[in-house]
Amino acid sequence: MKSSILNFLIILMISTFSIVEAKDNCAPEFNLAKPTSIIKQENKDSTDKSVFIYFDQSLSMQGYTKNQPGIKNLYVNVIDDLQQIAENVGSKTYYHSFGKSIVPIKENKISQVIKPSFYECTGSAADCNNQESKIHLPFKMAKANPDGTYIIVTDLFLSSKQLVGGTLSQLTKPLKSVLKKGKSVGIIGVMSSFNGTIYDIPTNEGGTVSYTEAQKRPFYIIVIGDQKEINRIKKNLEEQHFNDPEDKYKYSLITSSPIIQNLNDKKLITENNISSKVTKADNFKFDYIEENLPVYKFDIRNKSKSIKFKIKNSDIIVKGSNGVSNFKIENTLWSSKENRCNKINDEDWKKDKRINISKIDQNEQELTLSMFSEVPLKKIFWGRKYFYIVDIYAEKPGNASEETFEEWSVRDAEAEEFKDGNPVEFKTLNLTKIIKILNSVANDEFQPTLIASLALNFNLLK
Amino acid sequence: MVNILRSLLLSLVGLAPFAAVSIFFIISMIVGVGPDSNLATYFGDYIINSESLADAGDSFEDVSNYLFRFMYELNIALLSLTVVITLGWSVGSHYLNIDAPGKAKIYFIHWVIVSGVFIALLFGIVFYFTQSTAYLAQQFLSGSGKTLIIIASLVLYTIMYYVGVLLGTARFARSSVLLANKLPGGF
Repeated sequence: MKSSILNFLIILMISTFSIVEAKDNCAPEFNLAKPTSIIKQENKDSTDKSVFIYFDQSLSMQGYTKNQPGIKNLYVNVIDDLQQIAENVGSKTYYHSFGKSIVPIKENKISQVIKPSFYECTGSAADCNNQESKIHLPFKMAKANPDGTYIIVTDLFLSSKQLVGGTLSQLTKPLKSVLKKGKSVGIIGVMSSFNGTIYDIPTNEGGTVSYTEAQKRPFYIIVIGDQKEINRIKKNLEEQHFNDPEDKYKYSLITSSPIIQNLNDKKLITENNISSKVTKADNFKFDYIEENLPVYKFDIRNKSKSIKFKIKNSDIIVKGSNGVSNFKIENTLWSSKENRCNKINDEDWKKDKRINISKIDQNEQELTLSMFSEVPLKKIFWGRKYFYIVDIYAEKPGNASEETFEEWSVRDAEAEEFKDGNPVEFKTLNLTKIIKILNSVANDEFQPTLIASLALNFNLLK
Repeated sequence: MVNILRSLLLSLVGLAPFAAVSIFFIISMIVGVGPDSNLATYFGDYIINSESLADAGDSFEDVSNYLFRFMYELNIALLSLTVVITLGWSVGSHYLNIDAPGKAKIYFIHWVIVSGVFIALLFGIVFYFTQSTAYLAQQFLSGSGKTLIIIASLVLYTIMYYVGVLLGTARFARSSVLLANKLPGGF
């Protein structure tokens, strides 16, 4: 008898607590936003991976290999080291040159890449590999075997005719396929000394001219692979070569997934993300419900201004990537005339019809969600309990990388005039255009991504 | 004393028709009117801010209890004030004992002061109900609804007061009340 009474009491106590727990959520029935699958980089063992290095063998590259007195030759240093870095990234490294076609480089010839002779050709122009630079070829290889890491060393000097129609699609199609598979493209631009001839500079009349007075010129290391490996290569180069303040280099990551993570997954949203007016408010409580939905509970006066919620860009955006230019929010507001949680019934929750309640802004450091800035708290009824749920999505990728490289770019139409100015530092033809093309391919593959979901549960006081 | 009782009676006669309207309204609000009644429709159309309510997912029925309470408490307060001031003046006018040249003018000044205090209190109460946050229902009223409540309250209770004092003021002090000397001799 005693034990049955005890059992009954235990069951009663457990059920009472369960009810209190459920009621204490004090929330209407809602559907959590479905997390967007963020392409996770494979943690494949680097020993399984192959690295393919492609050297642009066009004649315009030759100038990088000859020293210019008084100016640091980063090309020779970087390329020399790149081979070592590549060998650390993967188990096997394959070397190729590309021009009219892809030609494998024998191991004993690899050291020749930093010698002028590598870019010379004694045969007829038709047989030589140094007359053109078919950059789409390594991309095609990357598409065929996306598990590898591809490093392309080039001057990226592409004329406008190479960036239209069929030639362009030869570049964009494999790129699209590569990005679709979760790979990214890192572009590291390095300003190096140059002592040679730059060929194929377009003139206004439609022909081409060459230029020999340049002493400096950027070259580019394009890395196709996982973000992790791209960052590793970049970091290695930075540590070993770009430590002098005079060294000029630029970096950009073209990716269809510039979002690192959904902040809810690892419960990264804390009390620190929201303005202190909430954390210092009466009856403030912070908790996660439904496994990973952060809920801020508090009392607030209806004269209060908007509530700010901040996220650091570094927590959500891949460093060096084109970033996100547009965010969108999806939100729902419910109110209940009854503001005591234990007395609220499901029918008490009324869904607000207003959609444009809050707004979102981004600056260089952070993303700020201003809740109740569009529908101020003074415009909603006080004396009620509110439940407000917000989902923040990255809607449109940015174009930060275009701006990064703008300084080193010259357009077809301006090339002749630029050359006539006898520049010492020669710019890259159509660089911005190339980056723009790469970005637009990445943007096509971009899917709106859920960054964070959060909820406010507050009593609005008069 | 007989004169005072007579004044009170006359004053009550003056107040009665208007008070009846007010009491009928108050009772309707306490009992609560149906959602399809004319009064509810009128409230829905002219008094409440339907747009804000709809935005919040509420209907008139959801807030009617708050609104009815607001209305009857407002009217009880105004009716009490009007009755108290009217009867107070009716009694008090018997104690105005002025024997000086131009006493009609002095009576009038007294009446104007009392009426001024009454109007000020009337305004004060109406503003307290409609403009302060004392009542939850205040936020459900539209701008035009508030104006309507203010005007209707002022008109109804001012007329009620005027008719009450018109009939209830002591005969010798009648000259104090505007147009009271136009009343027939029987009153």
